[in-house]
Amino acid sequence: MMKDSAIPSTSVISQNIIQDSTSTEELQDQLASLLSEQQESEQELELEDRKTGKLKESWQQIRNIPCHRCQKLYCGHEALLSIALGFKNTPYCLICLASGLNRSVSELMEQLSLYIQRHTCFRTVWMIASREEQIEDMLIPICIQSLLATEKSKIVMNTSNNSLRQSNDQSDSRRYPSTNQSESNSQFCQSQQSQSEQSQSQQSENLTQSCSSNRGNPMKTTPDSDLKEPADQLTTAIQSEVFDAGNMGCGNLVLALRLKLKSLPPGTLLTVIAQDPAAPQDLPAWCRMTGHRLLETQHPNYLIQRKD
Amino acid sequence: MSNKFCLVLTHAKDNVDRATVAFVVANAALASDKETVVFLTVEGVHLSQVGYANDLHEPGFAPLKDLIAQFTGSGGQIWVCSPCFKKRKLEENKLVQGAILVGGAKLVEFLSDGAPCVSY
Repeated sequence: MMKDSAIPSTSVISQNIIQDSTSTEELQDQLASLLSEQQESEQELELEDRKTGKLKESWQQIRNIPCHRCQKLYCGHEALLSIALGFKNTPYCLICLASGLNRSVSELMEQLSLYIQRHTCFRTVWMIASREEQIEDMLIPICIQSLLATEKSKIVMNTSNNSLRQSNDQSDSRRYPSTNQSESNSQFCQSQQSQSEQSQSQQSENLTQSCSSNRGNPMKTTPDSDLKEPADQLTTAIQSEVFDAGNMGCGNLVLALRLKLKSLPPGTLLTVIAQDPAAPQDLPAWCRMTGHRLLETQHPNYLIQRKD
Repeated sequence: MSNKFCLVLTHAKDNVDRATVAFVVANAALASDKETVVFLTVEGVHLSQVGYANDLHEPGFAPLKDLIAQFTGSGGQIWVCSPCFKKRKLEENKLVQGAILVGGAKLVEFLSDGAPCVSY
């Protein structure tokens, strides 16, 4: 009897073996899960690299093609802006893009620089362009600043050009209240306005000379019917809206936000104004759960980009 | 197994027994190395106000204000239901230390990985 109880029974041994094998399986599962996570992140990086490579290729192809409208050459940054608006095969310079879309250069640049900032592949090629042109890498590089300065000086000098003035006013009213980049643009515009006509013209000339592109005289600024197509592309690329949620909070707020974002195209930027004191906690949590990107938070303003 | 633990407390002065036991269990969860949240909702939001718990003492337990201080002092989080808070016109500048106003989304996120939740 004693001998029998001292020896573990076959079922006990087999149970132990099963337990051991279970823990090994768990370890294998964990390892597999870790490997899969690593693989996913590598795949994401590869995808981003591929996107950047493809974009760089398209960009290089149009570098030496003159503007489809004015036949002038443009800088690398403008080539990239043309691609951002969907003109891979028929590139336009920034001035022609702006006039074709019936916008001011500053207004168009304000929206496009936000777009460049948000997309890694575009940001990377933007930096390459700055490097190649041997200028300081900025969201508004010196070559683009020269165009903005030219536009400003033209507005000041030509007081009868009401359409451009209106365009700039619209730009101010549409500006994001919470984006630093927009503020820097605003400051830039203000500083330009405070200068005298003469100094503006002079600065404009200097900047134009320092730009490595082979730009000629400024183009005409009348709207161009040939550029109807990009207007739609611009709208889908950088559409932005404001959603004033007032005092909505808790479930009401996120449900209304869900419906609002659902009605917008992927990638749209939505500025949510939420006064609820719990919004600083709720909106980041909600974005983490749903996959929408919370780009900026400055209660009560929240800049959210709709997921793809 | 989730390393989080949530307690939903719906009472304050209207049921000091429940309010006290909730914080006793919350302290037990903290002591067990759990990331612990007490979610104050319905009448429970009154406990988020400084001084409210001063005179609440359930016989057989430590005074409620001590339990709350022990909880927040050891890293416990107090989340206060925002709509319940607003409905009762309580004051944001009188929140006890460590308490924050939250809405449903914050709680949902916390519980989303299967964290256990006990309601009092």
